[in-house]
Amino acid sequence: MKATLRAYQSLTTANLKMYLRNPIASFSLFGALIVLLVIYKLVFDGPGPHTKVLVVNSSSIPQAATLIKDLRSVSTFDVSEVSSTTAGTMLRQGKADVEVLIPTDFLGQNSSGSRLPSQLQVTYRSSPAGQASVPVIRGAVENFDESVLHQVPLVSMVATSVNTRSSSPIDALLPGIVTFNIIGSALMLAAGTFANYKSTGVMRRVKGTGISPSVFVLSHATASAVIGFLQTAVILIVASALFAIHLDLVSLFLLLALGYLVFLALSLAIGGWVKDPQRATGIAQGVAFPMIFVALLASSLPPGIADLTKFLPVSYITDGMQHLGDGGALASVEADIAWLLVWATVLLIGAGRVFRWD
Amino acid sequence: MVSVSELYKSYGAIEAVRGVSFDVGRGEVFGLLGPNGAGKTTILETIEGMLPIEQGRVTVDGIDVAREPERVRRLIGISLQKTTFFERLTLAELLRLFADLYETSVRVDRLLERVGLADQASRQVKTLSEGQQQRFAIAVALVNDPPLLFLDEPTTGLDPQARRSLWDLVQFLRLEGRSVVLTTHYMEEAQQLCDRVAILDSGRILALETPNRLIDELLATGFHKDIVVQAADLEDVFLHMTGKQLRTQP
Repeated sequence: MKATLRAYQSLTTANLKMYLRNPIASFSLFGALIVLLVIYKLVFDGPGPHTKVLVVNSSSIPQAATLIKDLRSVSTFDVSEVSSTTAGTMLRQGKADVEVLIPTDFLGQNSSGSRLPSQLQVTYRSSPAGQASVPVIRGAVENFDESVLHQVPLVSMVATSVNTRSSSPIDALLPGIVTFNIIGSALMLAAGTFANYKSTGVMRRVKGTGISPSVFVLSHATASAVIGFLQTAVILIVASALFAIHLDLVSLFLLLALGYLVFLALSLAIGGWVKDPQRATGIAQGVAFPMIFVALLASSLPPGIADLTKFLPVSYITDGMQHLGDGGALASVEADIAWLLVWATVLLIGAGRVFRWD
Repeated sequence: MVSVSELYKSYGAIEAVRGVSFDVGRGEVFGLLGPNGAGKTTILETIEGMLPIEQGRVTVDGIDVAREPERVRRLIGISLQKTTFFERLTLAELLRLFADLYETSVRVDRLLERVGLADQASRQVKTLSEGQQQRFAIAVALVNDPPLLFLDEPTTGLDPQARRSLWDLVQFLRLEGRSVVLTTHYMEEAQQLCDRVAILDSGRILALETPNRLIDELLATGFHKDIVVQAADLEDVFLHMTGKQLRTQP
């Protein structure tokens, strides 16, 4: 047992040294993703998505200006006053989401001095931003109506969000980035390297020492996992430093670390079984990517097949990330983590079993 | 030290080894000679425990290879025909790694000095010349201080100087009392190094004797060579001009 531990420690250290001394192979994908995060911060990070609202004010009364002021107070609206022609052009060209036309006879009066009903003409693009702007404009108009008429409606509504966390695009982007890194790293670090050892005769020489295949596989898995976990942690730390992340990062790390182990074990099993490095990488990609594809499309699949895809390891990763994206904490992903642990254990044992020295 | 009895080995329909038997004594350098496909490497790897024994019996120092391959591996040092090592590790790191795999300790500087690589400890294998790589492979084979060494075509592809320096190393190993089993294509190498040789063809041993006895037996049949043997050949000229000493730099 002591001897086995010594061989395991020594091989793990050797593998780590080899990874660290080959930074281009080990860290190029990781580095590219860090750069992607920085670029995202520099280029896209701002106050969030805005709806471009064009107001064509044909009225000269001061209340029209009050209405425009009310529209400007909506935090997600970027309001500009333009001519009717400009508004039409910008809307058609997709440079604006919605046009609000305040008519000439806005809040006009009849001969007895009573206000006449007015109608705002709202034209919106059939985009999510355009469609979402309509009820907001309606709400602003109702508020304006109340303030002008000085009448409190009999029935009113107050809407309150039950989830006070505010998510941003990075909350959706970050899990994707880290998942991409763990899958890419696990496939590239393990399957190709392992099969390369085999094809170049390194494994035969190690076999000659009499160490067990399990020790060899486990030491390789440990070194790869250390690199993968470190990369995952660094990406999460960098993302936290650059953005306001609203995800439970510890739970996300646990989920992704186990996801990494699953793909690593899968990759080791293939690399340990196949002799040719290129074939090993090809098979690893051929198994992993369809699995990801099927898991992501599970909701569109026929019920029987969709039920089966729930048991794929990728499904537990996507399910867990969905829970965390919805504001969940560790408790919400415990089942996913447990199932990933089962998958990782089964695949690691399998990798030891199917392993061939040559 | 080694006893091989009625060994057979097939790869599918191809019979690679057909009823081979021989013994190797302690401190003996034993050569397996033969053309490509004669079965040399298969025999070697079967004794090493790298290939399963299908039929026959092999023992090393009295230990049955089929029953206790792990015990046998502790007694032997291996230099494979095509050996590469983990990339990006230095010679010193590789020797320590293999020492850990063999559960032993190693004096890296002393071991590298024995194979003429004393000042190369911090270099990586890929930066060494082919001759140096072969000598390093023998250093790794010596990590567990084995009484028996297997060298599979150790001089194939080496220049004359590197080959001569490897011969010196093998003779040094014999002086230390180790048994060496080697395969080679080069007859002058076998004649120079081996106490006894087995000439193989198509998986069978055709002859098993000392090189001198085999030559005498051939001459006794009336064999005559028309070519006058020169006192020196071109290789001697080359070595004389470039130096026979061990080259440590590529």
